[in-house]
Amino acid sequence: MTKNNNELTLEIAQLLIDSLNITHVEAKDVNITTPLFSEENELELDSVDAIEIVVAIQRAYGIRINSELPTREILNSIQSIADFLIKENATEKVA
Amino acid sequence: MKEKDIYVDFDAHKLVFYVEKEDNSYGPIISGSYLSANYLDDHWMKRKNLEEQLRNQVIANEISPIFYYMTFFEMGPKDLAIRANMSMRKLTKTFKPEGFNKLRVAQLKLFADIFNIPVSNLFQTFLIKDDDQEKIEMKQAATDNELYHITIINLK
Amino acid sequence: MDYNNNFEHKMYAHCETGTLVSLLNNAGYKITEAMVFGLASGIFFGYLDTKVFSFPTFIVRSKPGEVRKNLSKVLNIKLKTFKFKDADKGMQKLDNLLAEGKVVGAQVDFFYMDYFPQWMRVHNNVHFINIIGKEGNDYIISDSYNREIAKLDQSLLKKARWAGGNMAPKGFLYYPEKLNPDVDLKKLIPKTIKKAARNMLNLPLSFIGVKGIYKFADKLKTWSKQVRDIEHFSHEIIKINILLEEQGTGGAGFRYMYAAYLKQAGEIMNSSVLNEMSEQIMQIGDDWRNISYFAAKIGKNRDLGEDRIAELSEMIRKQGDAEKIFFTKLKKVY
Repeated sequence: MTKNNNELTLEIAQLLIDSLNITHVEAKDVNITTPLFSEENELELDSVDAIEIVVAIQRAYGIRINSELPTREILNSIQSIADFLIKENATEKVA
Repeated sequence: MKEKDIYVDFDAHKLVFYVEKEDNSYGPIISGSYLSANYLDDHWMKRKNLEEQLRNQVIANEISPIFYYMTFFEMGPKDLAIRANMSMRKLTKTFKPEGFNKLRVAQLKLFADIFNIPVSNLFQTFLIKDDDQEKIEMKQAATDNELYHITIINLK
Repeated sequence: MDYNNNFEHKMYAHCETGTLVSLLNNAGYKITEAMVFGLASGIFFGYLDTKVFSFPTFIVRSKPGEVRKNLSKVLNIKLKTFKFKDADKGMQKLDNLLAEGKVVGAQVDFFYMDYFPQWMRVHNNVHFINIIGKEGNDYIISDSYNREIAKLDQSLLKKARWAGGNMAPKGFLYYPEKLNPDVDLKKLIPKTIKKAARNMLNLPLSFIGVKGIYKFADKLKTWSKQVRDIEHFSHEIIKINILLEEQGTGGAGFRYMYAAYLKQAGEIMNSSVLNEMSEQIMQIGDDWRNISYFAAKIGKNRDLGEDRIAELSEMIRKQGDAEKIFFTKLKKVY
């Protein structure tokens, strides 16, 4: 059964929280369209966290993000990550 | 780099370097630290000046002891926030006296543990004058009461 | 002291590689530190501007833990690993393993290793040590950065193993469970070389690899706006030397250690090309060492005006060029 957008974005938020050992916010409270690396984002990320995020997404969804693709756009927000996974037909977790 | 060009005779701080040896192989040697041998005095002076600068800012109510120790120990605010189980937004409030003064004892103890200091050191500094450093020895000993330390000051 | 007298303590350049070499050598598996580093494709570069650190910084090796994981995979070694939420259970497990006569690797916060002078110790959650015994309330530590075996009080070891913060250790322990003596290095070496080259050339982030060196060169010119005062600026510029030379890199940001790996790999592969590449990266390392001497000098002299920083930035940018050429060539060797 394919996930709806809410399920997928919540799953992605949880993946980020788990990979980055974030304890101060829950996945359900993270705004999915706020730019990930902005000061307004509840996750309080910075650009260096991008390494962990790329690794976590690749591992979880079995997809490669290579330097031909606009990584900055993919990682703009939780919604943009979800859009990328939908486009690549990789919304099911492999790990 | 050749072995003879890297080697520094400094016993107090030793490191392992990989060098080109006389037989043209590449392998490890133990050498003294170039930086410690040549720059340690400057480092100590900077640390002393920073400590004094930060202390004066605490006295003047410009910064909190938490900001003092975070800066002195060169901790990043995000790392400190994670260690203190709080968001960066909440941590930032503790950098000023108004925010620091609202902290509960348990939270202060957590910060003290992170900085590896007695919790009472968030409220005081012990100053021994330069001239007296050689004559006086000070130790702070933990007790079974995790909030209570004993400071022992002796003549050497 | 109460530990296995057959254990041989040695100093190594770097804690993660040194701890692994020590564990493996003491288990009868002979390997050098340079081989561990190279086979694990540990060479790297990253420019990091993150609030995790007190000031922008850079890394010169792969993410801590990756050397151990990559080496296990490449050499088909099984490392038994443990993580603990409960610190008391984690300390008990350590005691049980030591009682069985095992030497155990541990991840710790360097800040609590009080056998080093206070001035050397910063909060750094990715320090690795071997714990080789226990005597009363003290654990016996083989630390790659220490000349001798050391003692560490159990309360400090507990704090160090369960320090919070970025990349928290969570009581992590490991030891070799199953070794694989039948390894065909001739098949493995080319893959590890290609991986190292890809890491430096092809990862999709602008602050990683060769792109990271260029970013460092560029961003260095903005540091003067981020410092408190000239003393702070002096300290951060001198730290360039520390990060390249002093924080356990084997010199020149691991480039010397990688040169040693390529040299050893060249002998195994009977390859004059790898031997030449080892000499090239050794030369690149010499240029990094010149940068670290230069940074230390201008930092100490407070000679930190725009022109001088531009000069340092240009030296670093040229390293970006040199490493781009080098790793591009390295990627094509096999």
